[in-house]
Amino acid sequence: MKNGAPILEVRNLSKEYSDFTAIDNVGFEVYRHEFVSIIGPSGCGKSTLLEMIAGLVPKSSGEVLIKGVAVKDGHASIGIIFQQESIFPWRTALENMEFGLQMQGASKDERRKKALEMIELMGLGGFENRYPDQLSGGMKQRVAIARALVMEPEILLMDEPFGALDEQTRIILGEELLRIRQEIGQTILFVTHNINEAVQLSDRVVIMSARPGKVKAVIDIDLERPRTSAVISTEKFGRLVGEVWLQLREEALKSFRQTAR
Amino acid sequence: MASRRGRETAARWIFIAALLAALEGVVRLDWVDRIFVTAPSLVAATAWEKILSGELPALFVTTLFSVGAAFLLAMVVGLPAGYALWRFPLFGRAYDELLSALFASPWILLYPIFLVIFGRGLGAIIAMGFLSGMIPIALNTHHGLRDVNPIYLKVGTGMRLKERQIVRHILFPAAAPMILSGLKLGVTYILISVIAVEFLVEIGGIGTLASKGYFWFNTEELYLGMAGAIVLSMIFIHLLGRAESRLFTS
Amino acid sequence: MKPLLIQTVTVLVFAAVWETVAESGLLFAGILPGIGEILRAAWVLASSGAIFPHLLVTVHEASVGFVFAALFGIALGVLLGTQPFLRRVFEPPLLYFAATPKIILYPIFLMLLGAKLESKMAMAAVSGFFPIVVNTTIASAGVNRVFLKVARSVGASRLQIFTRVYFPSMLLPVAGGARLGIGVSLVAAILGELKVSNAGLGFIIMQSFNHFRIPEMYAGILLTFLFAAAVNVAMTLLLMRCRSFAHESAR
Repeated sequence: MKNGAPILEVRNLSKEYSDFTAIDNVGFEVYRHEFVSIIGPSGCGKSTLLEMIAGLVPKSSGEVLIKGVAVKDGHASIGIIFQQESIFPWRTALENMEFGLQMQGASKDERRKKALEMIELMGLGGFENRYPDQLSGGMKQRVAIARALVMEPEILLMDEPFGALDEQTRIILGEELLRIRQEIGQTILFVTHNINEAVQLSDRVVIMSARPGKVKAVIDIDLERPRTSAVISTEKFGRLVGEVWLQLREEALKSFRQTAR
Repeated sequence: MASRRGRETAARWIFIAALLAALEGVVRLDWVDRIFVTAPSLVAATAWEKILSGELPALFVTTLFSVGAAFLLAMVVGLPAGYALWRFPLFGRAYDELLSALFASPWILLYPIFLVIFGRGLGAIIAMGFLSGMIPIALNTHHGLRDVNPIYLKVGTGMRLKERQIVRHILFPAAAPMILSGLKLGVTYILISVIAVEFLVEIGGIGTLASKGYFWFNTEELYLGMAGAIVLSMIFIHLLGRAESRLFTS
Repeated sequence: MKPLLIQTVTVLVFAAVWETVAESGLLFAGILPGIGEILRAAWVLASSGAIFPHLLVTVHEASVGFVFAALFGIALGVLLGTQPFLRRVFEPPLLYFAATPKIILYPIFLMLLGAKLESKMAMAAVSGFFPIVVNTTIASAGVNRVFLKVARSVGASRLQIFTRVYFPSMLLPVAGGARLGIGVSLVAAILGELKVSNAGLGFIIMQSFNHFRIPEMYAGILLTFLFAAAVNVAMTLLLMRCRSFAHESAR
């Protein structure tokens, strides 16, 4: 899966707050068309890491490179999706998808055309003119993904995007995400605390330690591509989940003790 | 058959009609002194007379003019004030507390001062209305902007929008419901204080009719004035509620 | 710390501007007394004891009115809150009526109850009623269904459910409504006095207005505001006591 030079390189990235270190010297790469997950116990700073890459949180030290060029306050070709509901309640689904293009000054026809293509790709047909409060949680997250994809980012950062959804919706949306990724060859960096989800979706899983967050291990997920959610029932899937949990168990216990106080 | 909502609405109107009918009956049967209570039909007749003579419409126009002028002033001052409170958070915190304290105090009791300063006329009424409407408008505008869900702003930062774009396309639309409910609150308070002052000092408008009716023992006029003031407030509140829900459900 | 500084400076600047305008005598001559003059008038009103009989009258009116407001407000609120049909029928008109100027009803009370204390009590009762009924309705309808299920599942009697679940859940919001209500009752009584009366804080204000004793009018308003603020503070403290009581009574 590693094609040529990496799209994203993270080098020696650290985040220090006055009284503790959140991220300690983290480094990894994401290659074109790759799907990489970052998994770690709660409080290990995975979200902070992602927001640092996106330029939403200032970094204490280290570098973020997009196609070999260091970027300071994020980059126009990084898209980001949050766990919380973030689509604008005052815009319809379609208008939400047009938002970024509108801000870039794209013409009305152009942005409408691209948004409609995205409706097609995301399977949101029939919901274009609904407002967010008329959409289910899963639908809202689809719109959020579409809003980011319309901008054609080189890399899409996803911060536990399905974390607030129920398990079945989560698996279905994960499958959808893989299908879309397959169709447009999207590169994705995905943060989660759900082991099954990480294995179901990823090419590689980066395992982080409890606070301060470091890279503890990287596990290749050599399940077949393209995948459907049926992969969950295979023996190999179970073995990989076990492998990830083996690495994670100690860290989760450590984190549990950190927060128990 | 009728829907649940329909039945409830019907029950509500039947109750109101029964109250009016009881009142009518009690007066017609001479069970009460007609100086104190009058029949709805007699009030309606007086209302019709005064509509034809143009007196009632003129009173409504005066009240609406005072409310409109006060509302306009309250918006012109309150909206920018609320924005400034958000823009300068330190002052925002300080003045938010001061304004809230003022809002919680019985400012309606200040009207003698307004009479003294502005004279016994529409000026005092409009100034009174302005004060009572401006505070909730400024406070709600401030709170609306301050309490915008930070995730929406993060989306804008994530897309590397300019600050101007974030303010115009994210911050204000996100705060709009709260700002509009501030405007609604403002109009409600303005209406209450305008009618109250009209009644208390007998200057202009529908509130005066009730006061004069009382002093001249004209019971029909008194009840017409009261009913007029209450119905006007209710229509206002109803229309504002409709406008709000029209704007936010589509 | 810093907001407090800004607030203090603002109040001082306001006072300074007021004083300058009043001293210069250019604008509002005779209708804007200096702060010293107002404070002196307030001191005379308070130290001579002249204001206390009037304060007592106002307190009497407001408190009797408030008791009626609370009794009827809580009774109707519990009824509406526990009977969904009644709530849906009567809550909308109640909310509409709550936002109308109640002072307009004053002539009825004047005619039926006379110009003395009773008409102000009625004003206080009607005005204070609305915040109480609205809060009580919401509080009794909003009692957590899961708590009720838990209580029923352990075989609690109706009385126990009321005293152990409804009462502690409702105490705080109802007390909050009562706090608003007492303020509204007080203002309503004073408004009534301003219109027609022969005693009370509102009477003092209106009498000095009618006789053009302007500093005394400002002083009367100032003392009234201070009294209202004191009542508000006292009620807030009481509410905080209520909070700990609510938690204890749930045990």
